Amino acid sequence: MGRIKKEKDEEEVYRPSLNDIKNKSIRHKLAVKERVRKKKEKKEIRKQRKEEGAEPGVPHTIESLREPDETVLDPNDPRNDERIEETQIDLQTDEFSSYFNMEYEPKVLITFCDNPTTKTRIFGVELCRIIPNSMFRYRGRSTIKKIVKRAVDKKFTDILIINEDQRKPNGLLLIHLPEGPTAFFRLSNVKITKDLNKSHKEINSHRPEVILNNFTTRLGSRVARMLASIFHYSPEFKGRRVVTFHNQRDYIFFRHHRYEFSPTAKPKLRELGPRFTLRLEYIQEGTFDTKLGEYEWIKSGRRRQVEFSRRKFNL
Amino acid sequence: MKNRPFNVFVGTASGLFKSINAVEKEELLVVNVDGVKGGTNRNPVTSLSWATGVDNGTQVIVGWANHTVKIFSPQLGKFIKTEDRKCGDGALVSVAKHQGTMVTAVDSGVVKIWKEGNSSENKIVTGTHLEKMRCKASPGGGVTIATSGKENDLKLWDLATMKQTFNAKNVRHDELELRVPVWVTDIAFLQEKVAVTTKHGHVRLYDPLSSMRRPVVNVQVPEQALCSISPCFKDFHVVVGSGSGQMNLVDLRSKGVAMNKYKGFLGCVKSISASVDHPYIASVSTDRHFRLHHLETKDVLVKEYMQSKLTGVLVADDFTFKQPEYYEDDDDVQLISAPEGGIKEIVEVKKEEPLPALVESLKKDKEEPLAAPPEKRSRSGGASAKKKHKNS
Repeated sequence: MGRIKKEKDEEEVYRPSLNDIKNKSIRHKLAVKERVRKKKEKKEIRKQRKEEGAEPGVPHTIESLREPDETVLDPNDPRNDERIEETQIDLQTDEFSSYFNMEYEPKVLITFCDNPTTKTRIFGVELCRIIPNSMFRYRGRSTIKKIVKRAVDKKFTDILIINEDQRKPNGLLLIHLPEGPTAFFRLSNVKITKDLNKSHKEINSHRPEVILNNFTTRLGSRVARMLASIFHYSPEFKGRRVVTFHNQRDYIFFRHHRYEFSPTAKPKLRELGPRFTLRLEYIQEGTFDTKLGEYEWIKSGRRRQVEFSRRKFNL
Repeated sequence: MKNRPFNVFVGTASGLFKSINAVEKEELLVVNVDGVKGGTNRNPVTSLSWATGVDNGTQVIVGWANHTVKIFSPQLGKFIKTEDRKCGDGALVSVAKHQGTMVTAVDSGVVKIWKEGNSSENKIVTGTHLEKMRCKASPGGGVTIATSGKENDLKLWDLATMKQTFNAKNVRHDELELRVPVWVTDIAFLQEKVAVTTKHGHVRLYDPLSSMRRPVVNVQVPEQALCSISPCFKDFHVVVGSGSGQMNLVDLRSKGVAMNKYKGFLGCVKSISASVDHPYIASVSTDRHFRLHHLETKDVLVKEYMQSKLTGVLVADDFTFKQPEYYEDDDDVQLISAPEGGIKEIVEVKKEEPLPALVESLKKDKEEPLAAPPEKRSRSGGASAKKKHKNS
């Protein structure tokens, strides 16, 4: 009986869809078969292409199929000339222009929510080691508006506030002083140096190089400028430290490395830690005021509107 | 290009002034008047308003934070006059012009009145932290100035006599017997009455003619810091915009209620200007986009990226916009009584569809064109709402 059945199976019947087969095991079997067939077919095409010496095909990923953003202006289009010029003027005269003109050295205050747990505290201390000319202080039940006021008096240029939930750091508030803007990031996947089996003692006190990767849109450049302005503008390459903010699909990945050169082998990167991932929640004009502030971009409360497509990215 | 008249005007935080020709969705023409050179975020455009020249021609008066005032002629498409006057301490907040008289208001609360051809100035002190000043010419000929700001409630002044005619009184204490803070952000004139928005989410309507100094209507838009207001197509309705990007239609008749919510904003709605004769709302936002909404259907008709943060928008009272066709043909009655040719067209369209049975039936009933209109009706999405309005 079994043999007869097998012969029957091997007959190829054209089916537009396998979904109308009611027996699950047969449906599954046929589906596997179909998958194998398609794979073979694809392999054949690829082989043929290789023999002909043609270019390999470009795989379809979410990024390669990204929906075009209207704030990314094509420099090759002559109609965009004036718009690009205007964007340049807007960038050159924004709140960070004095930083990029090297008019001041950034001085950063790092603080926490009330009663931070050990992990959050260590994370803050490590951030303090990474960012030059920064100091961390416990919050002492003070409100953010009061902290902003005191920090402006004491000539700080930026404030970083780390929030935590369920004993894990979960939010990062970045306030540029004295006139804003304020950005709030969701913080996830925080790995302090201990989690990476590293020691914070490896982090030297030389100023790091900062790499901002893949910030393409107008909002992206704003965020990138904001993140850049907490570090010193001239790195000390002697220290061989490099800090990377890499944007991919609106998630900003932070990594911290040290170059290692040896006369025999290729240059290498050694990760120093910590690691974390940021996701922008809002940018607000002026210093922190969630209730009465004027937002430049806000996601909370309207995720359906902002994240309406999987292939639409904002940074 | 030049003969396309400008009907929307936009001011940016980087100090540029743009005029837009918005007639159809696809054909939006944006021109930077005076180019982009000299733009800086330190000198934003703070005020845009309509003005009447000496010869009663319409003009747009534009004010910059550094006290520069320019007058733009929509007919000529360029600035016709530049004035640089010492308006007082602080940044310029608002300017207005009525025939020969110019009114300027600065942050510190000094409102100055400049008569044309007369170097002398008249000064009104309206209180500190001024945020908004608006003028309205009544049909009787008098001009009313309204001022307001942070901890500076609505005040009305008469331009000719420079006397205060109305001074609003703060609302009663709340249920906890605490004082409600005052922070009036924008003003709109509704016939004889005045509507304001506050940072604390209230839309208030004052009646200067009655003896009541407190608002006659007080609507709360929950959890929004309102920062812009505009009268609109519907009587005693206003459109309000908030700091976190929400735009609502607010009904100020009887007790008042917050109604339609307009979507699409990513940032603060800085300024709104709605057409009075047609159901369109133009708005600008700090997310660098200009948007045009339909009042009834709530659709976003135009969304345009404008590079800089935007601070002000201005459209004429009779601003109109050509919409895609399906908004227009909601008159079923007309279709039935349409000439023979029009109906044939509809039948021809039907033929293309892969429904042979239906086509055949239509061929038979060619003489009875009544089959077509229901099809039309289903296409017009927001027709019912618009129709309702037409009847009212």
